[in-house]
Amino acid sequence: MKFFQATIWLYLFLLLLPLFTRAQGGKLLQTPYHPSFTVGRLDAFFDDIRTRTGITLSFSASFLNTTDIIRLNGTEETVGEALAVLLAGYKVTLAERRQRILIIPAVGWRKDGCTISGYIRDQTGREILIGVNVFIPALKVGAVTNNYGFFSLTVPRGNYTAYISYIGYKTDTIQVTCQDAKQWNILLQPANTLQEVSIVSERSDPLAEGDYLQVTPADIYRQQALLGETEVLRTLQQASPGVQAGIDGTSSLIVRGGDPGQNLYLLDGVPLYYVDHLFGLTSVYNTEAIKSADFYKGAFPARYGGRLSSVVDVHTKDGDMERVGGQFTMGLVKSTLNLEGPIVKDKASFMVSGRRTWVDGLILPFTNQIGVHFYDVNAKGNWIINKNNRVYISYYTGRDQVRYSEGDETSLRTRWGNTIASAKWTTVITPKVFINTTYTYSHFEYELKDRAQVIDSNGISNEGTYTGASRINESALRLQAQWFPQYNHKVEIGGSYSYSLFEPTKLVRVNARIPLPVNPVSNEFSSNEIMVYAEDEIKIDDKLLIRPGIHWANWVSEQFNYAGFQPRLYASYRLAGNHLLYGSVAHMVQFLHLISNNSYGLPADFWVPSTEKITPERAWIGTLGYSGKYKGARYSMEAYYKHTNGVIVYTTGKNIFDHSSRWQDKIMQGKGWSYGLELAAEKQFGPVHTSLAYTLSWNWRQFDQLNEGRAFPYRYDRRHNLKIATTCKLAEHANMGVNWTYMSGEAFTLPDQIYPDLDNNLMIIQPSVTSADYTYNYADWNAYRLPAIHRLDIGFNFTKKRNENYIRTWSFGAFNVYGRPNVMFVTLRHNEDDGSFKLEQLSVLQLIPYITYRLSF
Amino acid sequence: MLQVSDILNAGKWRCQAVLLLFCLCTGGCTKPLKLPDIKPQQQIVLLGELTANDTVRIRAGQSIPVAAGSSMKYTPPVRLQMKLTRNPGYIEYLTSSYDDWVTLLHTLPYSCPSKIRPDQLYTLTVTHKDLPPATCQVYIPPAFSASIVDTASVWVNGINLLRVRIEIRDDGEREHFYVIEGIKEYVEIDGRFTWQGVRYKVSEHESLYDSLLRTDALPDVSWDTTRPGNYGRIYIYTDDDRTENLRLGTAQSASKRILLADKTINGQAYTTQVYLDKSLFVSPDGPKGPVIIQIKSVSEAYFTYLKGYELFEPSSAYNTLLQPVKVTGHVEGGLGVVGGVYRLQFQYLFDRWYATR
Repeated sequence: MKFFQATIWLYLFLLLLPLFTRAQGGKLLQTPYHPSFTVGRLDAFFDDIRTRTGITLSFSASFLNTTDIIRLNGTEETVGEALAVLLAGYKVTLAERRQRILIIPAVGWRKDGCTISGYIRDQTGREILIGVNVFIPALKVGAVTNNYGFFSLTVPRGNYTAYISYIGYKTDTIQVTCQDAKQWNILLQPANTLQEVSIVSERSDPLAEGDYLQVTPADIYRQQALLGETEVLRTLQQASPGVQAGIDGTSSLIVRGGDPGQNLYLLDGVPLYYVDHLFGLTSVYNTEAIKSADFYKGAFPARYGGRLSSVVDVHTKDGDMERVGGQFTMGLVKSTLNLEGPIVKDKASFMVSGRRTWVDGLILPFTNQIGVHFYDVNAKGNWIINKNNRVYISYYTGRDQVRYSEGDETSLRTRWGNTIASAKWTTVITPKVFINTTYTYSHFEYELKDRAQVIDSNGISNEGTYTGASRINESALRLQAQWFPQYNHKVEIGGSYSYSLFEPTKLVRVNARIPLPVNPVSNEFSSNEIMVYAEDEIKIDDKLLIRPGIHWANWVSEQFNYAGFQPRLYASYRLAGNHLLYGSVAHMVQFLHLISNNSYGLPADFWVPSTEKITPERAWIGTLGYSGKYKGARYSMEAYYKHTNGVIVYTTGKNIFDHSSRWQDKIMQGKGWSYGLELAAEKQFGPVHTSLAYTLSWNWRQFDQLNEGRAFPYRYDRRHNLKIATTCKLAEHANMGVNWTYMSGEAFTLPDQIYPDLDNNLMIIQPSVTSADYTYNYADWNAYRLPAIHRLDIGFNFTKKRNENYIRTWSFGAFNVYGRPNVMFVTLRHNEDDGSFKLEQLSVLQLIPYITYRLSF
Repeated sequence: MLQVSDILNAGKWRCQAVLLLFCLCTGGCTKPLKLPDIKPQQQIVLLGELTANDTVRIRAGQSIPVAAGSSMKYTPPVRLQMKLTRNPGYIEYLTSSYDDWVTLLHTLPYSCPSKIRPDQLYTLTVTHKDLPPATCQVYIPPAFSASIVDTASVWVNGINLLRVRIEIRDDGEREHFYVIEGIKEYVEIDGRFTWQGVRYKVSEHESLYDSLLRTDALPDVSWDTTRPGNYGRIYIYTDDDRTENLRLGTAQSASKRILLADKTINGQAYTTQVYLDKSLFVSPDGPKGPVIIQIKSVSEAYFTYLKGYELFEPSSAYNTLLQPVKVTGHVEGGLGVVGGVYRLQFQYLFDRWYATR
């Protein structure tokens, strides 16, 4: 608890830091100073003062135009006298602090500023661009476009040149005169559709923040695809240290020791409850429909809540405003068709994208025993009502089905899927105030038809069937307001109300010879969640930035009332040169729990809510990082510690549909903690771009009722995780990518002893007693390790461009080129002849080639 | 091959089967993996119940470490020194014997003629020259009061069930852990007859017996019933929310035992009902014998073991995708459990047996 108390004190200190910067003047201003020159730019005089006296002047370019030409009187004898002349035209006060003189704006100076605001879009398709940098070098100030392409920057009145830069686009400039209050509508021209781009957005800060990653479709296509399935979540696994797959090859995310259910997956702002398609081979995020994705694994902005470990916020394309076009992709497993175009040119557009597996149709002539398929559809429309108001409507639906038949009868059939919809209205109230109002609807449903356990004269058998269901409905109204009072100050406030209906487990019907009557009980219940948040991003000076935030959520129903006060703090300090120190503390609360039996994409996971008995999961995460640039190389190093209370585990391997009204009894809660060090580096060597991500981590769990209460390693406690990615531009229209991944083996529990069975030895013989009946004794949980996982993936892309609107790409390559038999799971067997034990591993995904055709038109 | 553990993990094995089929399509293969290169020592295993007012009979064996070089070959340890003590000054040494079950059960029976007393704490100490010593304390619960209120044949979902209503009168002074189970005793029925001056056993001369029966020349047969002490488990069901079974499983789950701790019924006369599928113990061609409903008050350590054992399936296969079930014993320095039991039992005979077979 001391750690948390210290964190709160630090938080309060930083929140109040600006109040203490008003130091009183004195000695430094009396320091003798004889200027080297009498006429020059303001910044030149500041440099001269520093050179001749050793006194540093600290100020913000938001209220000083350092390019002003000033003439001194020539009689100045001290620093104070010189500054009095140099700053005569500004409403400022001076204060001393250690060896620095602070130049602080006086009350009322802001009236002299002007606001540059507007939208930045892609020139080709008029798609809004997220995370574009707007930078004014003369003032050393900048801003970044928000998720709707809007930016706002308030600067002193004057004439400036602003640079607009974004990865994959040509840098543009605009001349700012501050003469009129016009709203800018800037179109950026793509630099080169095949250009290799950095995966890390620089955002407003030239140095990357370690906890944030922005991914674009270009980044996703650069990754080598398992079976040709390019995938945003797999890109995050590859690009971000601290992120790993559950079972190798799947798209599940294990972030800094968190459970798979601790990641907040958003699609156009709507939460998704299940993101796996096809055993986790791919996710519900359709790459063709994605505009960009924001990923946070720490330093969570205050607007996010409800999950502990990470946020994956995916934004879909708005649709081309200029012409009708699209993409068609055909891989080994599925096909995708994406269409977009204007409804009213430059006013309204649409985007529709659909995917479906076709491999199930291919195998049907050979076997009807197994049936696996999925489909999904993304649709979006947006309408620019006027320069200040826009409306977006988006929709997604997707379904998976897995069927397994024995003979002519279907013995297992499971279906699951999400349907979500959202309507957004964004409005610019003033050039400094942007408001986004969103209504969202999210529906998740799961159905399992399976054999039921019945008994007959030979013991237990599976002659009947039952159908179980689980579903979640959620409707929410969200409000987000961003206020940009100054270039160095951004305030965001917002809130939401959501109503959710849960049915964690429901036994729908039973068609079986089951002795006791089954009442199709439903344990449906609802919840109301109210959330408010506020966040203030302040640049104290040109070195220090702090971003305190508060997120408060109240989750209430007739049965429970849980509240979560969640402070957030991010701070960065720029060192000399291109070096940045940053750190964050965040408290996260999660009211929903994912009961997960595995993470290999099979439908054995269920969402259950907190109840009177099951408390919310709560986590504190602290990070401390350093990033820098050296000779073109970017690198970062970050340490983290995360402590979680209320993590859950399913007590037994039995089916949750067993007894709907008692599902809470089958859940144990404990705690978990993880800590580690993450390193990342990237550098461009001519046509070759190389990146490296390494994680050294420890992950622990502790449950009172497991392992005799002793802490034990989490299943995904992988000590080392190294990912190296290299892309090479072979020719104008050809590139190659090579990825190498290494992960320490996961922890698993192996019995240490085997001994004879109790009932047999009581002479109560099982219906089918054999000499192989025995009891496993487990001494320690997760005390053993599977072999390390490593693999090399290679891919090539060949692109042919017939004209601006007709581009085709052939991609081919191989996953796990050297055929490393990475372990999926292990069974314990014994040789019937000599009785010797042996462990047997099942390995999959060895040397899997792929080929994909993509046509852009 | 489908195993019982798979059934108990209903839904999961088929998911895995689908997954495995999918994996095989994606280059799946199996490969041996090295076992942990550790040298855990074999341990003494004790399995049995010390039942109040009954003689001492338990079985003992030794465990097999799961490690490189180990072999799945149980060797019942001979020359175990087994001592049963009870304050003040009671010492009894158990002697071993060899029975027909040793090969199948991998344990030797140990016994002594003294009877176990209720409400006493016994200590069992076992030593062996090659194995670490094992000891366990076994508390024998005091007498308790329970009875069967009624039984009924009921039809549910087209199934003929035996419903047994049981009243347990908890004394409220001590902590009790109740166990209800249904077993069927397998008796041996054999006849003897004299034909042409020679004495024959029916089981050994069935063809002669049948031919005489067909020709109506069968002389008088004297039938004997012997009870070799073999039992079969009858899976049992409950829909009582207070039982541990519904915490661990479901009303539709077949249980070995119904487990009921007195914390929810403390000091009350509590009636619960259990169900047994009659088709399991009324079979024209099946083994004959009485159905025995046992109501036991057991020691806490035994109750804890049985909770884990209820989830554990003895013939289950091990794989890392399934969550391990830990069965917690109380034998210090060894493995297994010796339960302290005060038992009440009620017999019902459903089998119909005719001398003419």
